[in-house]
Amino acid sequence: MNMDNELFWKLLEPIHPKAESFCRKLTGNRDDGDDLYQEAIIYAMSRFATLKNTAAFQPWLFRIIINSFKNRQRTPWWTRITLRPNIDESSVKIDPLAQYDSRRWLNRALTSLSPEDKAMIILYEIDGWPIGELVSIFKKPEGTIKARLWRARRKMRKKLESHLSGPSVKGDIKTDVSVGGKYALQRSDSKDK
Amino acid sequence: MRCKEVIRRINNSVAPDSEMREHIKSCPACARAFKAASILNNALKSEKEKSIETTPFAEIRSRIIRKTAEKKKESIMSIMKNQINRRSGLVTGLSLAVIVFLFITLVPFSYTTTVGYDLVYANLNEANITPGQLPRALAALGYEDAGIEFDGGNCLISGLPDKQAAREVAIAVKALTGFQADPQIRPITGVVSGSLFAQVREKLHIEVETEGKSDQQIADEIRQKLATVYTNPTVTVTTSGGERQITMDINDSGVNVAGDSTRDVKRIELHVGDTDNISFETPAGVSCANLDIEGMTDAEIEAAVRAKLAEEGENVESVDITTNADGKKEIKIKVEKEETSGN
Repeated sequence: MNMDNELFWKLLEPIHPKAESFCRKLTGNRDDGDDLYQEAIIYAMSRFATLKNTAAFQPWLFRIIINSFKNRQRTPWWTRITLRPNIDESSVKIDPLAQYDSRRWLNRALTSLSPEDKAMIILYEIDGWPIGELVSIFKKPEGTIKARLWRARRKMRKKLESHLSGPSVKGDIKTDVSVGGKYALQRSDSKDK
Repeated sequence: MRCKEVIRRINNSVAPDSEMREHIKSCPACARAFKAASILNNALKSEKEKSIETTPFAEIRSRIIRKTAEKKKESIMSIMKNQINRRSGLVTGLSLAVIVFLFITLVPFSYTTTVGYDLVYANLNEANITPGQLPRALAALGYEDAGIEFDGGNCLISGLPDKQAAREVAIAVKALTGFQADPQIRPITGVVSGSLFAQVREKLHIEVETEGKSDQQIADEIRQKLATVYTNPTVTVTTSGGERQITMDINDSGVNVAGDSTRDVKRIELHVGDTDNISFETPAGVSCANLDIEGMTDAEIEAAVRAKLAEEGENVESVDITTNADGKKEIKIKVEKEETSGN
């Protein structure tokens, strides 16, 4: 048992930062994220003996995190508290207002997704995981993962669209066009690599 | 450029060319979609670039080890509380089951049932009995509350709690008075209040293991169980082609089935497969019809029986009347039952 525990901690150590920040991004704030991480680790420890291949530890742990998050989302409506996006003061370095604003939009967009799609978007779009690793976490074919990512992005865009008012849009186009265009080019660059 | 193409390009994060920019400037809907996509791209990019400070691994490790140690010390109550919070669906289901159980066992409903039995003797006068003899006999049997009435040559003993009591009193009267005629045992129905569970329990449940038993043994066993409620029931069991047929003649009036033509007999037929177990229910209070058939022909008797049972809401399938060698009439009535499944 102790030997198992030692191995567990040894395997967890290198992926701890990734896993912890993933939990915080999933829940949208630091406190809930840390709670989720702790809950997932405790559960993973209790189920560690069932893991046959230690090489698959990372996708296995991330699957547990995603399932724990899904379970949390299933809590009854009367116990659910809607948390506002909160700024992690320690991580804000440049423009706090701009960061707050973008986080606010992102949280709003993420609310349109199911827990699993949310996890997929965070891992792929924010944490930059390759599709191959998502395949091992979600146990779905590559084509399915790509299609779900595409649909999730479209859903998020539509959600944000519903929050934008019509007339005021026109004036901002010029700036946004350049930003959107730049980002689109960056995305295609990064994919080519 | 059309809107559809612009939206397709936005969804695929294609960099806008001059034609697309022109369209976005002139179309508010596409402009809104483009703006939403830009905001989303910016937000994802900014989140990607953001560095989040993570908790030192040693701290997390010690925190989790402490937490797991605490968890082991958790009381039963806190474990239950956690389970309730985590499995709210299961808890809701269990609560509903408890509510249904309480509803079935505690909530009273009014229903009609047999509340007692009367004994009616025709042509038994007060003069035939020593004064005080009958009340003393009833008291000795433990039925002090039973009432005795003499009316126009008939004697009515009322308020007997169950059929067994009525039979005991009938035997006692026969022994005390020497009056040989069988009395009529009349069930008294009344509206009572009771739970659904109590209503169901009023039915006689019969369960018989059939494995390794002959038809005769099964019939004897069913007869034995029926005899606890009904007088001299006749049961026949026949098996053919993998199907077992059980025929029961239940007489609720306290006399032999074939011995008295003025009583009504219920025939229950069950068809069950060749199973290892037979289980069924019979109504506890089989209604009792009282007909005066003196001077009637067989056809008139049949018509009278059918009319009487129809009054009681019974669906009569057949009425067979035969006259025995000793001149007594035997009436067999077959009643259609809706719920008589054994398997």
